[in-house]
Amino acid sequence: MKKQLLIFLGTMTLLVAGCGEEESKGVEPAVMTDALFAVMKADRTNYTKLIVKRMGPQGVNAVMPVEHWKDVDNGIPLPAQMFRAGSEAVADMTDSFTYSLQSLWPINSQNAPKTDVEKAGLEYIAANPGMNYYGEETLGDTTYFTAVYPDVAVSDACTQCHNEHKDTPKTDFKVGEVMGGVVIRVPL
Amino acid sequence: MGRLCSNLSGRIVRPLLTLIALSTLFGCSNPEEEARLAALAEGEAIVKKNCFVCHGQGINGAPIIGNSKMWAPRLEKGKEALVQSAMNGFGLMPPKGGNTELEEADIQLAVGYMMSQATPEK
Repeated sequence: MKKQLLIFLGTMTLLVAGCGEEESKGVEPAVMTDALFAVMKADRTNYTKLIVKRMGPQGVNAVMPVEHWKDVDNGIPLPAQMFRAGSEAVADMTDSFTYSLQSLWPINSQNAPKTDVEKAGLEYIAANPGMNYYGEETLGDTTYFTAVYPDVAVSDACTQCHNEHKDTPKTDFKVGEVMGGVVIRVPL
Repeated sequence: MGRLCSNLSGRIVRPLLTLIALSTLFGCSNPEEEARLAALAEGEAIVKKNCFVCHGQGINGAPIIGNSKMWAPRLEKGKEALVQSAMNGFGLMPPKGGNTELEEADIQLAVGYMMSQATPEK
């Protein structure tokens, strides 16, 4: 009887002790990357609307948004270049996530996908307009959650420049087409 | 009492059961509702092919389909105003979402579908 009571009390003690621990309240990786992309989208939209369109040739014509903006007195980065500048600034600040603008048809080959997951993601979003791609990959000794979001040709300015660029591998982009993707990577 | 119940059963219940059976068998058609659903299905198909690429993601500020917060001020403008915006372009949205082959009737259906997905905030 005494032995049974001791076993029972011991079991109850273990159970109660386990109840005291709080469960870790983490954020799902997809929730984090979706939130990051929401900020990126908003900033890029605002740069396009408030600076490029308002101050550029279609507005007051005070600035010139152009690829080689550093060579022009009133030159400013194109929205995609501003986006890249942001990703470089983030990479200087933190390793908690990285992001980049990539394409299956890059003008600059360094923006082509480098991993199988990046390639699969870019292919998926091109084939499924409006959808995101989520995957995992191990690079070195770290496993990452990798999300790929569509980058869309939203105006003639996008398609015309890309289609006519001397280094473009694709010359028939249309407005509304997925031209590439934003790859956001979070270590797990 | 038993005879009364039996009479009632014959005069009321049996015809009522017959009516219910016939209604179930042949269905109660509502042409207006059927037309509304058909228009939504057609609109959905147009949206998936042309609009979802931006409105699925909120690219360039496009109100995300089903996002009641983004759609609330748009719903207040009314369908015709939204159709005109889509036809002529609005903000960073190109006319007809970039597909110049779409007719106004297509835009009406697409806008109707997207509005139907934006339920008011509770």
